[in-house]
Amino acid sequence: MEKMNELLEKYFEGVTNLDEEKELREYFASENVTKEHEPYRALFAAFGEELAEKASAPLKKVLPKQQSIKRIWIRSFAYSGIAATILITLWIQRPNQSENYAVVAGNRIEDPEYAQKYAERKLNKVTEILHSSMKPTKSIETVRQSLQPMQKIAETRNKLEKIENNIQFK
Amino acid sequence: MDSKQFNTQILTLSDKLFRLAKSILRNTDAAQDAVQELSMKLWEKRDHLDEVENVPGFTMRAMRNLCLDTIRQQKDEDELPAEFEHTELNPHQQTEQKDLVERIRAMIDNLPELQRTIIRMRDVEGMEISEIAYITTLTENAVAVNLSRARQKVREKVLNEQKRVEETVWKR
Repeated sequence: MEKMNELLEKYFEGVTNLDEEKELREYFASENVTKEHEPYRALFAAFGEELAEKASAPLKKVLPKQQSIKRIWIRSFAYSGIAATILITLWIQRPNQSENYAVVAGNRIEDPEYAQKYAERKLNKVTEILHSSMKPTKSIETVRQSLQPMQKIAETRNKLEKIENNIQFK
Repeated sequence: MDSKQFNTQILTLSDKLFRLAKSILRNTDAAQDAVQELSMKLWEKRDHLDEVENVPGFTMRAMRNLCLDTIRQQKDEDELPAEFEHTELNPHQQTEQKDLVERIRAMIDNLPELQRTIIRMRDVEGMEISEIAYITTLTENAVAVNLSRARQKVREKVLNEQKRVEETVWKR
């Protein structure tokens, strides 16, 4: 009783330490509070009540999530796994298809005979185009042959020049 | 400071921050908003928090400053003093407050901001005088003086309240 009186006086003067204040809180939470001290019971109860107050909205929910490198790797592996599974499933369940086929103008042709004939027909057409494209070269050859006598004139002139030179030296 | 450290060092203070904000602003919703605002601001500047030595103290100090800014803004808007001390509870408060514990909490709420902040940091949160001095940017001696004044005022009001109750019982 006497001790509590002293502690209370120290408390109201603001000179108690944390241990002494804990002792006071425990005393006022007990059943041993004297009538003289009864008015202060509510004071310490008020502090206890305030300590029980919590923030109503947890802060974690409002903060942006920071992706850790580990989490990014795990997510990348997960997505890669899903993609690989889908591809493997599609490959296993693909319909039976012939390995020999030709694609003509975007159309798939699986009949080899038809494909061969189609190819020959196209090759013949190419040959014809080449043949007709070579026609102008024949005309060039004709012109070249017609010009051959002109070359002989030049040769004759050279020979005459040589003869003239020989005469002058002599 | 990464998100894990932020969760460990800042988010664990949320209840303490809320109680501090509520003590200063005397309004639960405003206190909640202030805590959210502070946490967002600190999250944006989390890279600089590594340079802070006393993160809990720094955070509590930032919380108090943010609340004081809010009070100043309200004061400018309302053109009324946001901070004033009641000598007695008004009749409305008396009918609203159902028991003595609630009336004592209201008494503490009606102390000047510095005194109610200090008495709660000490008697509710159990902080050391040096920690309170860091948060309030006062000397330890100034903290002790304000703590003593706050406790004396509350004591006076508690005794007055007790006297009033006894008189009421005698009249019956």
